[in-house]
Amino acid sequence: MPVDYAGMREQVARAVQQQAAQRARLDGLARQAQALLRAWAEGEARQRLAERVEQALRLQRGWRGAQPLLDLDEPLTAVHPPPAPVADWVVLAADGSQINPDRHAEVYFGLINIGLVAFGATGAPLALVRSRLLIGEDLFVGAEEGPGLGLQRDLAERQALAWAVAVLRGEERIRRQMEQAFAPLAEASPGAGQAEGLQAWREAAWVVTLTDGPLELWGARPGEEGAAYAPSLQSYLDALEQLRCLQALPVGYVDRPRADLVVRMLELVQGVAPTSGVGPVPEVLPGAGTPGPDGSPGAGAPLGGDPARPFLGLSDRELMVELLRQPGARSTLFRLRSQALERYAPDLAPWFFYLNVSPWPERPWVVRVEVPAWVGRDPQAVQVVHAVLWEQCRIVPGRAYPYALHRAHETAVVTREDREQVSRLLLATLQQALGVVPERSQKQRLKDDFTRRAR
Amino acid sequence: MSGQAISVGRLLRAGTTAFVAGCQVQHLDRPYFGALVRAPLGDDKAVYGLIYDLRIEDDGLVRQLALADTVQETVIHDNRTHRNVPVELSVLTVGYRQGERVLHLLPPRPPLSLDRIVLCDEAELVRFTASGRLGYFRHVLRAQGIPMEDLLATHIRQAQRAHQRHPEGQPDWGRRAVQRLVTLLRDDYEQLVRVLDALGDALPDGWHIEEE
Repeated sequence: MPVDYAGMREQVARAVQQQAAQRARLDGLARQAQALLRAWAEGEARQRLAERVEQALRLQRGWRGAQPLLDLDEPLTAVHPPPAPVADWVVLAADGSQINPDRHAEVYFGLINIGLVAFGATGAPLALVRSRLLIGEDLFVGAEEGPGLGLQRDLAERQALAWAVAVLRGEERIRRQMEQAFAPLAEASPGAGQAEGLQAWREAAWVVTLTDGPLELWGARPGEEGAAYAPSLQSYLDALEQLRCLQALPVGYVDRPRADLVVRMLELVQGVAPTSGVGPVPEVLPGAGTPGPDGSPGAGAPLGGDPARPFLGLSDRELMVELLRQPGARSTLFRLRSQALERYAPDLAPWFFYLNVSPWPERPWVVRVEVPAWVGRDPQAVQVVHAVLWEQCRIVPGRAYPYALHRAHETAVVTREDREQVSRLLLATLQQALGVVPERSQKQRLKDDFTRRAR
Repeated sequence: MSGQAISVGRLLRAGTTAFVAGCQVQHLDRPYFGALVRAPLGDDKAVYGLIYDLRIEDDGLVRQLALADTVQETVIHDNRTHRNVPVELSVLTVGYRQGERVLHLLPPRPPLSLDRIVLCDEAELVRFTASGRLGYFRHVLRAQGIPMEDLLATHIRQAQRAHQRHPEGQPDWGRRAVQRLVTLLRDDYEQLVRVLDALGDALPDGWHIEEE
């Protein structure tokens, strides 16, 4: 049965009307939030704002937002123009793709595919792929089935980067450690690309590693994680620490960020004069970010109706777009705070800034860039990250996205055809070795029959 | 059959009358339009063909990069070396070899995926073109959608030079080839004129071809 297109037309019309009203409201909220940012940008006001964030973390379960960095001697509204190009750098970008296990298919298996590319200011670029098949016990962590391969994929990306930097720097101990953590790094066939070419950049002054998405290893909320998250997080933090030892600059790149981290910070001082003392942090109603009384995740308060979330619906991107009109400009750095991040060592905790990567002043495109604290504390390192990303985002005309990340994605992507090839390989091997002829589920067989008829 | 075979690529797809090979961009100096190439058919057989098209496909990323005022050398290198867009060589089948015997017939089957395609050297070119009665010309004349006049002219020029240089070559091979074409195209005057016109461009100094 096709979609009820006729019925959808009315829903679309209503939704568009709501969007128009919402747009007008959000524009107003953006102006208010921008005024608030300016009012609390400097001096004692900025310090009080940082203190209110500490209060919110103590008093509001699940609070997540930005915090001013008091060590930075610049206002919250600081804008840094694009720096001059940097010489002597190399970017290592990693992306992962996966095949999720399908319990309706003949064989229950998964695959993690990591693409890693290296581009330098000079030298021939490099592209590597590393694939890991997961079958049987590989799909379990302890006594539980794994939480989905997304977590393992994210972890493998970071391990691959730590491994690549170790190869580049000639650090054998870290290289072997990462190869033990993710075996395909060492076991790849020659056709998958050899890592020794990375040593061409051994003396590079700056090594920037790049992943798509937040720097934080994303998992469930604290208390809701399965058994897999804690060991994965520890492995991830180990990889991050190795990158620090190797003097690399890890970067998490978030295109089209929907987060409201700075907005949440400003909500803590909405209606409070910057010169007043630190008052009670506003209560946050259930459903606006904290779990409900029955422990279920909050569904989100109705827009415009929650006095504790006066800017609900407004994203940081909308807040920052006026500030970052200049192509290539970045905002000041903020610290990302949440209860989940308390598990990160101070040096590894993520800081972030916003960056306009569009070359056209009339069409800014704001992204979020996350770096670990040890990078954020180094102004020169931040300038290198800024310069490299600005250059990367201008390589493909009309596509303001880091070229290296796109290439890593291309290298990693697993298509439907790839899935079928791996599946056929497994089936043929199982049949030959074990005389087993696995079958699809009855549900899947009926679906396939329907698909064939539909064609 | 030949001493040092130069590989020009690997087979991507094939049929009885033609096949397509993929070639790495960095090896693009090896294959050339009109070249005689060979692909294995197993045991002591091989299929011969003439390269009639070299194609470099684009994709969305290359099209976007082409709009840039400048493209970094590293980006060009990356696209040529690492991206899965090989140069495609289209080859028209013109005969095959069974043991030591060369036949200008279509082969019993096409070559297989990833079979290595090699460039025929002068000895092999002389041997193939001198066999039989130039019957392989009909494959070229029959083919649709190929630059037939230029293919014949370029091939005849290359073959004539090989016959001039090789000890087993036939110095009058070129004249016999043109006479054969005139015979085959006697009922298609317009086509014949076009072929002769192309030959005129390929052999501006007559049958003696200078070293290039």
